[in-house]
Amino acid sequence: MTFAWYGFALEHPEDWAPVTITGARQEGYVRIASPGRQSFQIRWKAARQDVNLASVLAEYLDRLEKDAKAAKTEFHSQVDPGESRISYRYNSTTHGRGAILQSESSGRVFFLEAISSKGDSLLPTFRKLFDSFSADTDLERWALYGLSLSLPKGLEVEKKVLQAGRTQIVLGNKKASIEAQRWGFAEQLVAKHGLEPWARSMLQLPKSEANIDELGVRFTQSGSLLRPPVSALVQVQPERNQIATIKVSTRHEEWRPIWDWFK
Amino acid sequence: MGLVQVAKRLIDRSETIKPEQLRTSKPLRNPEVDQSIGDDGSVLLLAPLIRQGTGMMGLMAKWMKAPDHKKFELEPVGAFVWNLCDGRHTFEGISKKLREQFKMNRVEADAALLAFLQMLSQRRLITLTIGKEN
Repeated sequence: MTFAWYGFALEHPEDWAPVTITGARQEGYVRIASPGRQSFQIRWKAARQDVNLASVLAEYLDRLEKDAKAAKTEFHSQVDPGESRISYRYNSTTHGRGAILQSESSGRVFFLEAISSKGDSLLPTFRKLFDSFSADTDLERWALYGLSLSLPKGLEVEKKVLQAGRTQIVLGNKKASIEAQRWGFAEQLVAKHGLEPWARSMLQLPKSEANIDELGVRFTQSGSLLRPPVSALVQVQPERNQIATIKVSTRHEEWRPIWDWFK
Repeated sequence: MGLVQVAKRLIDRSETIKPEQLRTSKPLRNPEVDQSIGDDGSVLLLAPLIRQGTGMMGLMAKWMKAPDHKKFELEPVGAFVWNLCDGRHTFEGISKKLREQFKMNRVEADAALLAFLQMLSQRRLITLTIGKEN
C-alpha cells in the first residue's frame, strides 16, 4: 500500500498503517506502524542546498543519546557514510536503523528509520521501505489508507479526518479548495443507496448536474458572486471495495478535477 | 468526580470492556437473543428485557404493556460479525475475516470491530470469554 504526503511516497505492507502524521511541507513527522513491534518513521525538514548531512545526523544521534542517559539506559550508535545518503543504526531501549538523505528537488532533508522496541533484525524492513521511497516527482502524491491522489504541486493540508471506514483530507491553496475522501464498504453502500444519490448527499451537492460515465460520476454546480463553482468526481474502486471522491471549489479552470487525479 | 457521575456509576451496572480485554476475547452470542435474517442480509435481533419483578414496578409495567423484548437491526456488515460471534473466533480472527470479506485495512477493521463488539457487549447481546488467544 502507498503512503504519500507532501510530495514524498513509499510503499508499506498492507497490514501496516500510518498512526502519526504531524507537521507540514517545511517540517514534519510520520510514523507507520506494523501490527507488531516494528514501525517506520519519516522525518523531514526544509534545508539549504549545501546542508551538511553528517552534522545533522550527529545532532540527531546526540539528542537520542542524551534522552537515553536521562532515562539511565545505554546507548550505542554506528554511522556508515554512503554516496547519496548516510546510514546509521542505534541500540537503546528502542532499536533503530535508518538513513539521512537530501532531496534537492524538494529542498528537504529526510530521515527514514525503522524502529523496534526489541532487538529484531530491522534491516529487511528498512531496505524494503527505504527502496520504495521517492521524493522527486512532477505531480505531488497524497496517499493513505487506500486513498490515492496525484495532484498539482503546492497544496497545503487544511484538515484531515482519519476514521474507520472514512478518510478525508482537505487541501488548499489561493486558487482552490480540494476535499478528497475515501469511503469503505463501496459495494454495500452502492447496493443500498445507489452511487449517484449517495454521492450527491455525501458531497452536499443537492442541485448539481450529474454526468455518469464509465469512470464514475462527475458533479458540476455553478457558482455565484459569493460562492465559487464546485466540481466533484466520484469513483468506485472495487479492488479496495471503496469509493473515492474529490470535490473542488474554484474559479480557476486549471484547477477543475480530472480523473487522472485518482492515481 | 462529580455527584452526578458517582450516581450514574452506581446506577449504571453495564461495564465498559477495556480494548485490551476485547482483543484477547472470543465473543459469544447471548443464547437468550432471538434472531431473524432479512432478505438483504441484515439481521433482526430480539433481546429479552430484564423483568421488573412482581412488585409495584412489575404491576405498573404490566399495566402499561411495557414491551418484554428490545429490537436491534444489524446491517449486513454487522450481521457478518454477529454470525462470527460463536465463541470460537477470536477478535483477531473476526478482524481478519472482516478484512478479507470487505477489503478493509487492518487499522480500520480493528477500530470498527472494537467499537461494534463494545456496543454489543454493553447491550448484553454477546458475552465475552476473556483470556489468552490459543
